[in-house]
Amino acid sequence: MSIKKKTKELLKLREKMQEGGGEKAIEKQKKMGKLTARERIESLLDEGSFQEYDLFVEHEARDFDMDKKILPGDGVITGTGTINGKPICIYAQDFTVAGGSLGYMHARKITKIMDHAMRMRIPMIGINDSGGARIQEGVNSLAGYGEIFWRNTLVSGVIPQISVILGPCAGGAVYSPALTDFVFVVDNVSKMFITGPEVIKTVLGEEISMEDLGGAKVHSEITGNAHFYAESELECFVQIRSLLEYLPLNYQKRPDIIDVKEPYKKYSPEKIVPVDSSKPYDVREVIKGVVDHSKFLEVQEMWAQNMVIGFGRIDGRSVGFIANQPMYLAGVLDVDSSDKAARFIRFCDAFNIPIITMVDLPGYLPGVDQEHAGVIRHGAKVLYAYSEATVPKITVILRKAYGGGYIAMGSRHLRADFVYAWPTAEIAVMGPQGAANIIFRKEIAEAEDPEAMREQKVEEYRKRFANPYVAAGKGYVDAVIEPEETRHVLMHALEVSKDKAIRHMDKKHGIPPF
Amino acid sequence: MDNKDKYIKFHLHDVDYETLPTKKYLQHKEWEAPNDKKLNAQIPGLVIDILVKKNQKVKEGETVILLEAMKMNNMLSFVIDGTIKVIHVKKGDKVSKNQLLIELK
Repeated sequence: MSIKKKTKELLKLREKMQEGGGEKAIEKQKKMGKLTARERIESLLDEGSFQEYDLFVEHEARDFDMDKKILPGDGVITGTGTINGKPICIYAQDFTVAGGSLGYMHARKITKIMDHAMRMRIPMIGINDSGGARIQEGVNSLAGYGEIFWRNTLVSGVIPQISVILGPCAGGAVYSPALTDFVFVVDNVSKMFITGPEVIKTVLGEEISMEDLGGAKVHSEITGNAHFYAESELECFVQIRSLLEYLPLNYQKRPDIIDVKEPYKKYSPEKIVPVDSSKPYDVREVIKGVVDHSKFLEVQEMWAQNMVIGFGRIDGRSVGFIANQPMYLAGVLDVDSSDKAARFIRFCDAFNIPIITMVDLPGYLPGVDQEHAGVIRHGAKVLYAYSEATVPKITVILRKAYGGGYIAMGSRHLRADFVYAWPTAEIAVMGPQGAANIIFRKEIAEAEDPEAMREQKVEEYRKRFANPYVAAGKGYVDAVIEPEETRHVLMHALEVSKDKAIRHMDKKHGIPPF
Repeated sequence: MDNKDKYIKFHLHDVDYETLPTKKYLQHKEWEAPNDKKLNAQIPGLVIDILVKKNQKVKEGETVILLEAMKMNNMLSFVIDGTIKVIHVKKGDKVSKNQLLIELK
């Protein structure tokens, strides 16, 4: 037989295996409004860059007549490719093959590509679309999940890990995405939960649809499990490609520096931020005023909106933003916003992405539910994450920075490298109204006209303390800057701190409050 | 900004902040002090049996109602002694979480 003939044979065999679950199953997948696993990989990666591994892997299950069944690729496609010209490893579960169920060899294909990503030190992307454990394979299937979780943890902080939920992802399967850095969901396609609607109905009598229990919106708005929400799979792939532009390949590398384009002029602080700190504005516009090309990639846009996190570039360098959002709940810290900020800080720190903090908050959200939900425990995560981070930390105090919130938001005391304040900054234990009411309680109560006295005392306090100069006088603020020069100052700070080196105290690891 | 009509007054440390509420903030429930005279269902379930009648005296820890939930029979009781004032449910009722079942005088 000639090489040509042998090659022809290979191509035929490959074509058959690449069909996955076959025509009928593919038709069913399309009816659900989903792309096939192979189409997903092709749409996400650079054209023609995908190199498949383990196409011919077969399962070894014998029970329940499984030995008579052929499952192409064992229900998962794995391989390497490029995105924006940079290498990645990827797997995509194939729902058309036995519902994408996870058997032993299916898991082994995934762990093999994960091991590869770890050795090559390149990002790992997992596309989840699976009915869950392959019940016929029993405990072997559970072992498979365990092996995946263990690797997710092992490579955490070594290479970026991205999970894309494009179908059901239920029961134990949800924990691989939960252990990874970013979770992408698509409306009407993604479904994630530990126990599904049927079990909930039989056990608790509560009736709920899959969408209302664990759909894309739920995880983007309520649980905070998802980081990016898209209306369609194709939009989701665009989001993944944009995210990767800000990330390095691994923790020893830095994100690429790309061409600088100036921000749009319309995002001028003077036009955006009211001086009266009880008035709202959208802090994302301030961020857009300092980043290259006014391009800001927001993370967890729909969850805990009182805290804004996301990526941008300044002077071509990738940076992570953490900003209080006065537009929502006056920008207070609470359980969810603390969680959101703390995790993002740790991600940026792990992957050499400098952290820029923009401060404008009145303090913590009061309430029985907040206290009982553990705002102490969750709030502590922010302190821990800022204190622990060794990447350049640059803080800009825009307006109010009161009390514990001032300390938590990347203050000098948690070792920010640069702390700047706008002339509109108010750095104090609390706002003038609250402070005057406490300090001058007696004078106000005993005055002939208590309201006039209160106003006078509030004004006195405001003049004396509601400004950046007291903190600047102690050196807690390095410089009070003109709002319009913020971008320029940040560029300088990033340039100066680009070789920042800090040696951690010798220990095995810290014990963050989670 | 087209959000202006949606702003709420958010009162904190003697200041009224103009701001938007988050979904979760709007859903937040007023806290109620625990009341030992009220017995609520801690989980959703099915009332299998009611072991007391109106005006009956009950002791602390005495089972007053059997609730099937999580495939278990849960024996519910009051944490204080008292006399039954109202029974809000009957045998065979499906009850939801936190639903009031029985009250003491």
